[in-house]
Amino acid sequence: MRFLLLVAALVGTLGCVRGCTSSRPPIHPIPNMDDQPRYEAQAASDFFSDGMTMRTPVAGTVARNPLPLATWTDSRFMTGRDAAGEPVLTIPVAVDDALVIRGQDRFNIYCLPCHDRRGTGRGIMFERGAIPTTSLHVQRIRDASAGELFDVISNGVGLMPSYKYPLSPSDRWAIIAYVRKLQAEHDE
Amino acid sequence: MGAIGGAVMPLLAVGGIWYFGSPEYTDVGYQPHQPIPYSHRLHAGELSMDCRYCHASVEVSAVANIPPTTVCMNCHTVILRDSDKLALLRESLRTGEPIHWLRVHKLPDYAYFNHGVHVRAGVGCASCHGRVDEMEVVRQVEPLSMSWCLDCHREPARHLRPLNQVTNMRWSPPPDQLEFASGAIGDRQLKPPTDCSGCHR
Repeated sequence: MRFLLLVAALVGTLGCVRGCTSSRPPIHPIPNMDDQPRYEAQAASDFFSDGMTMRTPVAGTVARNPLPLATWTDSRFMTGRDAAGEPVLTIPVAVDDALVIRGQDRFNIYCLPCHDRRGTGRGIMFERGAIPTTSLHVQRIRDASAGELFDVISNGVGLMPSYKYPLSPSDRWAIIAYVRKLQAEHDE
Repeated sequence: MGAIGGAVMPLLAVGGIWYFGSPEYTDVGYQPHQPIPYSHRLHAGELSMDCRYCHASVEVSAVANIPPTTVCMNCHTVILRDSDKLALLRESLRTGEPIHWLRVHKLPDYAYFNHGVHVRAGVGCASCHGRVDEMEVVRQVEPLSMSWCLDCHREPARHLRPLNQVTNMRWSPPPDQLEFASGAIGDRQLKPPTDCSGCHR
């Protein structure tokens, strides 16, 4: 009974029961070592002149890539272009079910918002902003080589921005494999 | 009176600390005002965008990244390009100064949580973050306390999903959830640690 009275009194004082919404940062009465003098990912820094904890790699940095050396030094795989700089005609990795499923998975995250689940181009931008979005079923895209599609995903074209940061080269090839499947299945 | 007070006061003190000192009181409900009125309800709910469109590192990194300004501008160079609400965003793109988003969910610095491990194990985003797709402004709904973590580490079955449903905010457990989960625990070789060094290094 007295406990309830105390809770009522404190709630009255602090103005809140458990779980109520507040924009004030949490206060931990017993701070332990909850906050240690260290930098967290994406936190602000008062040490570096640009104010950012996370550093951008210096120009020319080579990623310690988990892929085999032969893969990430293969220009066909990494850029979609052959030694002469021409877009490759076909996907330079083995196309199997796992690749297509991975492509579907990535497509539904990064491509679906604009191009729609089936690639019709009737996604958010089209529906809400009447922004023309390319259908992946038009003849021009059906005829495009794998290397040209890779270049579009990597560097963008027109209103479409580059997707090279969220999508690794192998994911880009997986998406192209899935787009080919969509094109084969739907005729619109 | 003195004797009764002597017995009751410690109880009151303990009860008060338990009630007001627990993360259920101190942390749950934290909903900071963000610098841009970004709506998860609109983007993740109404538009059904996948969490990973913006939080792209969540499957492979310990940290679920806050997206850089350029990700917002993938669409907003075209959509609402003159909106006053997005003035700060355009300024950020021009100057390179990041948006100072305020962090909502924060574990103590001695707990080493890894997003990627949990996502790849099949724990849904909503298990810890709640129905973000229904929140106009994100708010902490779970205590993120040690006992709360351990509840799931000891009994993960209710929270395990098919791997392609992790980010689906509308997913609910099917009737055969426990059966599915025991299979998933075996297939994915899940051994949620309950020893100290699992999270505290």
